Amino acid sequence: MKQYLMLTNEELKRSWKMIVSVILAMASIEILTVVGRVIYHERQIKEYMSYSKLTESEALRSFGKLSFGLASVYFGYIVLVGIVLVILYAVQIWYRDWFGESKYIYRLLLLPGSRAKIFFAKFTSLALVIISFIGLQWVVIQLSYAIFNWLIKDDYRTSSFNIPIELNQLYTMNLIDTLILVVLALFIVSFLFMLVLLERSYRKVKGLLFIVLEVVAFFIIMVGGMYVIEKLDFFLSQEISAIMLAIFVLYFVYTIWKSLRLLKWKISV
Amino acid sequence: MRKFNFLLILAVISFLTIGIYTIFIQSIDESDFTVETVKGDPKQPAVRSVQAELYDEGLKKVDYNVALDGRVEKTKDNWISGMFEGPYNENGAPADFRRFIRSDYVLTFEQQGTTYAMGTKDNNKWELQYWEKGKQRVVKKIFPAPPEARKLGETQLSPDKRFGNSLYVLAQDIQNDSETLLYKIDLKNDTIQKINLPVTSKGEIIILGIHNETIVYYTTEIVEGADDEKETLYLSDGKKSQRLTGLKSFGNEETKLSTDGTKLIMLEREPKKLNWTIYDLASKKSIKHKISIPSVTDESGSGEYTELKDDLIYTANRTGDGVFNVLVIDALSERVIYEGNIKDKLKRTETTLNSLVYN
Amino acid sequence: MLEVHGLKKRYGRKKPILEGVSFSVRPDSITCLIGLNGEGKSTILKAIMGLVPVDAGTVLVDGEVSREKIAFVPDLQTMPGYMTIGDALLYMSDYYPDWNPKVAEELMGLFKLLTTDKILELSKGNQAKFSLVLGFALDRPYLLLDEPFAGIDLFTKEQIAWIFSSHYMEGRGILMTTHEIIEIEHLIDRVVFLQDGRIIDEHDTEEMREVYGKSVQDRMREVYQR
Repeated sequence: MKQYLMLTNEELKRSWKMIVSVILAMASIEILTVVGRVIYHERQIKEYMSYSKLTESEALRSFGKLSFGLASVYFGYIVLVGIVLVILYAVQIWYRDWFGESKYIYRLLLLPGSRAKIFFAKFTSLALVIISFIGLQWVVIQLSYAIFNWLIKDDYRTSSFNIPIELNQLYTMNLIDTLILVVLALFIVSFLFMLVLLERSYRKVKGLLFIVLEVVAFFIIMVGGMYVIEKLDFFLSQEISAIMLAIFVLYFVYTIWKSLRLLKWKISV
Repeated sequence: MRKFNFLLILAVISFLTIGIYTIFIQSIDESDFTVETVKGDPKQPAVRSVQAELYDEGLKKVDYNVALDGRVEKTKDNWISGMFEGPYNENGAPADFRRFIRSDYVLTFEQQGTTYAMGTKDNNKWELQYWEKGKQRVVKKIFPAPPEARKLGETQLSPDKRFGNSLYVLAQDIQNDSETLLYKIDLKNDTIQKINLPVTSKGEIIILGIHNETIVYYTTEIVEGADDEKETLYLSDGKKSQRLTGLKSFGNEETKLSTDGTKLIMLEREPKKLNWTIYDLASKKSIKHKISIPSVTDESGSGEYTELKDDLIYTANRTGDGVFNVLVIDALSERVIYEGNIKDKLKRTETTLNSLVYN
Repeated sequence: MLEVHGLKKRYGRKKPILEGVSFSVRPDSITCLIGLNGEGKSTILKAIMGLVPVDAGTVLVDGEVSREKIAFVPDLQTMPGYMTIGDALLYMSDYYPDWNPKVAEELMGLFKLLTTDKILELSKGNQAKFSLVLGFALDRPYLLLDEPFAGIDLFTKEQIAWIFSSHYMEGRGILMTTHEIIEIEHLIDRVVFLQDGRIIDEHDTEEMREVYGKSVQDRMREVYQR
């Protein structure tokens, strides 16, 4: 247990600069887009006033007030970039041990005790990064809202707090949904880990072949399962949900089991 | 510490930031409903079973079911519980019954707490199942299809009305325009009897009400060159049909036969009032009624729901921020038997009225 | 005794790199795996340590399947690039219960290595020395060394060779691969010659010298220049 926690710490330490830079960059860009939107909106209203010879309140009535939801409309894209970066991190966290400045994979595989701790250390690192991304993104939203309120003239904005629809999908104001989101993200991470370990175990053509097989098998299980359920026309929607959930849980467990087996028996430096 | 510093920092960040999110969630207001009775007894049978379904469409999605005696049921769905939610009318039904009614070819109809489901797979056999809410027993019956119905193509069976031991069912070929056939199933003796509707149409037949041998229905026909379909209203005793003239818009609005089978009630909704006509089938005379209803139409929308059920008009309307007025009117006597206001103490405009449901 | 039985390994459809290799390493002795480049010497060491999967074969350490009695010094850097020597020593003491800080400290002094130096900025010779520190400071009865003399200067070679005759060697069984046989020939107890994935010859060096009157290098020439 202690070794697993130390290894997790080591993994995070190795990525620390990258994690901090990405978070800072994303937060700054998000805040800047809000500031930009506010300035742009105020300028538009002023131009409209001088062009149409209208008073400020008339211009606001016809032009509309700026809501925070509209001011933070670009956040969705930045979150998307964040998701892509996390996916890349899930791949990089393994490959750097083979292709970095040193061959740390030798050291990792030779550590006393079970190799499962290597897998779970990397997995926990990803989990922590994902959870902090979700949490920090919320803090940045709140911070941007404070800046938005401070920056914009009161008459120019709508009074209530709202967020763009894409962000609303992510922040449903239900903690169970957040937990489900994290579990889904971790499933994707686990799936990626399995693909990377397949490649690192079998290499080249054989590695690629196994990756293709796993991906195809995954789609056959999912799409095929759906197709069979649809064709049978027997199950109730709740039963279908339960079956899909069970398949998901089993497949999740399978990806972890497969990765651990590869790490124990097939992995190659 | 050295061994775990980065792990701890990130764990603390995760914990704190998710904590901030949790505190934000907790701080979001949720509607707090009370019901103020203006008139009538909320415990009388026709009112007791009514619940207003309200949705909070703000940041936090909350569903409220407010009964008129003040009981409030609050549900917050998450993605997983959403996956396991069944349609409202299926709640508590035995699995076999739910399995039956989910088939594409089965149609359902609910009357006084009993759900009737019917369908035919191959035109040779008719399957009927019905289930009373709150019970475990499902009645299952299979009938050989009547000879005329076997000739139809893809047959859709719609249970339409139960009267005594008789269940009235419409059979129609949904692929081809064909006559709609009406049958009476005797649930006691398990027999099917064809009811002749003396006047039928190649288009649709819509039954407005059945009471003993009295059947009020209308036919629709496409008239070449006209935009609208031609709708004709008939009163039948199963042997001959009588065309009912002078009545308009019976097909567009809620039109139902009174529970005693002697009158036709035609309800029309206008933004600030309800109009209804009571047509006496015996005397062929109409009496018009109207009642004004409190309702606002501001930028938050009106939020209204009106339904005619068992000679009663149920209507719910938004009258202000977080205030919904509920009226139950006896259509025949024009008497308001209940009036109440559902009030949100927080006056949230995000909470909107969806519908009234009857349990 | 470290026993290797019937190791087989093939990469893809190529010719097998190991075709049933069996040999053993006695405690308190130095065994040298000798072969031309690409004969699978490093693969054998990695296979013993479970760093490459094998198609067949077993490795027993004193009769058990246990890799935790063997220390491995590969011919490359295995610590993360950002670490200093000090970080790496702490890392070893954190993770290895059989880490011997006293031996590490002595060898650091002997090799004149500084804890503040970044590992990846060390010279090739110092990197090799540091790798040896990491291997020798583990209290393990068997030690595998992959090309410990590759690409380092004469004086460093001598220093490393000295270690092999020092008290740090006491009781340990060593298996190494090397091309630089001359410097350490006098230290080696046993040689195993590999060719085409098989062991083609195996001798105690003393016996070879006394019975055949040949040095290891002479025998190498005979074997590989046939």
